[in-house]
Amino acid sequence: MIVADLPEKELARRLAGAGLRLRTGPLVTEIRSRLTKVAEGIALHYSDYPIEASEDFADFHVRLAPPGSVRRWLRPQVTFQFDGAPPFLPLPADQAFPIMEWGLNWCVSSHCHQYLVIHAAVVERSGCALLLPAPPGSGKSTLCAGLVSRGWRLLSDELALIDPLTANITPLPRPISLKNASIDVIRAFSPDAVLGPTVRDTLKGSVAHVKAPADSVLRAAEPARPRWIVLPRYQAGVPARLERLRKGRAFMQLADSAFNYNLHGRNGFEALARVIDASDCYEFAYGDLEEAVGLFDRLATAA
Amino acid sequence: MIVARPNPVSIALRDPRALPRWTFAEWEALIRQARRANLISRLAVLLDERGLLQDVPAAPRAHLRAALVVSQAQAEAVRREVAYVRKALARIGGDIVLLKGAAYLFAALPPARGRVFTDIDILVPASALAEVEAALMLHGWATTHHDPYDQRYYRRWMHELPPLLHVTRETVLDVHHAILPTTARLKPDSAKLLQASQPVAGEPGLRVLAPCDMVLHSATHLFFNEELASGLRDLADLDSLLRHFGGQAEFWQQLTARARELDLARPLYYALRYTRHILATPVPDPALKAAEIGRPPNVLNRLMDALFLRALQPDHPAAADRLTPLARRSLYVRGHWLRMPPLLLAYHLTVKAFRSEKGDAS
Amino acid sequence: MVLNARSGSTHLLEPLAAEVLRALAEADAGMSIPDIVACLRDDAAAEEALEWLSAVESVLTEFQRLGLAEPEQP
Repeated sequence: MIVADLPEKELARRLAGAGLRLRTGPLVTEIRSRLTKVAEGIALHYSDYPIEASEDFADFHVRLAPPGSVRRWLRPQVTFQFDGAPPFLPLPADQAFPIMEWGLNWCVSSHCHQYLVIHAAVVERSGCALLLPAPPGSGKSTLCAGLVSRGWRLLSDELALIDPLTANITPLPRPISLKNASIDVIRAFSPDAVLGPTVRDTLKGSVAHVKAPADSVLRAAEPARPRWIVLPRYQAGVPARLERLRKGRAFMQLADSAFNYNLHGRNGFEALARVIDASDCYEFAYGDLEEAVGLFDRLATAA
Repeated sequence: MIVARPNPVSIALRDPRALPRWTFAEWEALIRQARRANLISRLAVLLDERGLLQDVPAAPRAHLRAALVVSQAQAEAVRREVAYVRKALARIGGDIVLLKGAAYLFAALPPARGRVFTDIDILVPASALAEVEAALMLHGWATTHHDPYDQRYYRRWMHELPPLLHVTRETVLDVHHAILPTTARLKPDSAKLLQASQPVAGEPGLRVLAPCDMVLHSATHLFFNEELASGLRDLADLDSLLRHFGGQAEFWQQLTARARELDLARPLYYALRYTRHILATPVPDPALKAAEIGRPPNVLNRLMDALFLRALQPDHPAAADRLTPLARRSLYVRGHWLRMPPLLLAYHLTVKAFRSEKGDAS
Repeated sequence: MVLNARSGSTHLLEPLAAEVLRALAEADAGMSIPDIVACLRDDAAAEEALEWLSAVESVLTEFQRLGLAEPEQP
């Protein structure tokens, strides 16, 4: 069963009651919330995602609810709770869906140490994975959304899950989060893309999410081998340019972008080395999304 | 007669062999509570050691594997940190006595396996305290609890310095000069603990407490010192120590004798009582009987049962009842109240004493 | 009635508070909240004694405010 199979009322009922067990890639999260924005966000972005039965194992148990204090009546707030405990401070209630997304990311980066977890976008074409590690503001998410809207499979927009033994990347397709100017860029670039409402005044500015393509969700059980590692940098007016990156530097970048590199010790070192060995590493500057996507399409065809 | 409410973590620790047959729902409850109790790594190690990890269903097994990664990394971090501490204190000379997690690790004791380490704890003679603190600060450790009121408290009453935070590594070091505050009613002699301490094989300059003292310290720490959020984890350490040393000849007799000698009969009584009931630790009957000299008077004993059996559950909503928050608060060491020494009391009760009014009390 | 010679102030205590203060005064070292409760209600059942914990806790918090007692740890 997938989320789209549930009538709206039933979805809301489950969320408000015993919880909805949503599968995203290898993980099942039990989500509970009475908030309309959460139900709407899930109905929109997760319509293609499988729902698991209550007898099946859930990896995480989260809830989006108003905090227990008086403020809930003054200016409504929402907290993200992990197993009853909130890891973050409360935020305005209209940000409930972005908060859920950040919270789900937190669950993975804080707990999924069976993987080497890198802060990066991952897309795939022709069986080859393109890894885009980058700090916020580098244009990684815009590039990721652009590629995905032109046929690349989405493995993840934030969290690359690398199997330490095989160096393969496990998909975790979830809504792609866009900020500020990127939102309009993607709307223009891809009129068919499904975007949720823009939420303003978050800590990151304005935020909106792009729905992951159904095909990416359907193929979530299919890992990919790393093939290209690219550090993107958006700069207005700059022509698209790929420049070879020395593998040593690429290694350091990847290690810096990892959430749990230190935990893996020697195994982490060897896993990253395998990823780097298997990949062509580049720095990438671009000013135009169309041009950028075209360049990567040609790269994939030549592979 | 006490009835411990079974929780999945205690049940799992008691007998890991049954775990591969558990249902998904049971695994789910176990993983959630074990994670909160900081015992998920311990569970993973217990299964791994018995070759049972691959029999665990894949979904829960992933969490156990993740927990193993964490505990392995932490053990390495503790070793590195202890090396730094040794370097910092090298010029002072004298041995460093490791306590708790670091001690278990360096002495290769079972509670070290699958342990989540937080701070490093060491014990130094009270006379060396100033010198030790100065040397540590020179090497980058800085005091915490900067409020002068807090500083005064730690240095006046407590058995340890305010925790030291290393400025670059952000690790925490607790320097103890005793195992209980000076104001506690129990007065174990720290000099005796230091005297009986034993060297760590292959690590000159490092020592750990003698086996009986290690158990007694663990018991004292759990039952008299600690905020009980990690109570079950500390109880599991005790269980592990007792099982390990319990096989040695004379251990139990030495344990109860040493407890009397160090004025720690009360914590020992609690330790044997609760490890036996909650984790089925094989405490021999004669040992339990001998430990009864530490038994509190009846109403306190029953009260402590009601408090500890709640507070020693995992800190998770599914393991709590209405009275659990109150139980935890009451056991937290802040509950030790002192009279202010220079207070002069001249009191004249203008109302009847509380005792005689108890019939009216609602 | 209690005279706090250090601060010079005088307080009128309720019976429970008076007994708590007396228990603290008679002990020559720190007492935990369960210790105090057991001292006051030496014949109570455990469940009943549990209910007294919050009452004693409130009394002690008030004592701290009045300067009549202080907790062992910050």
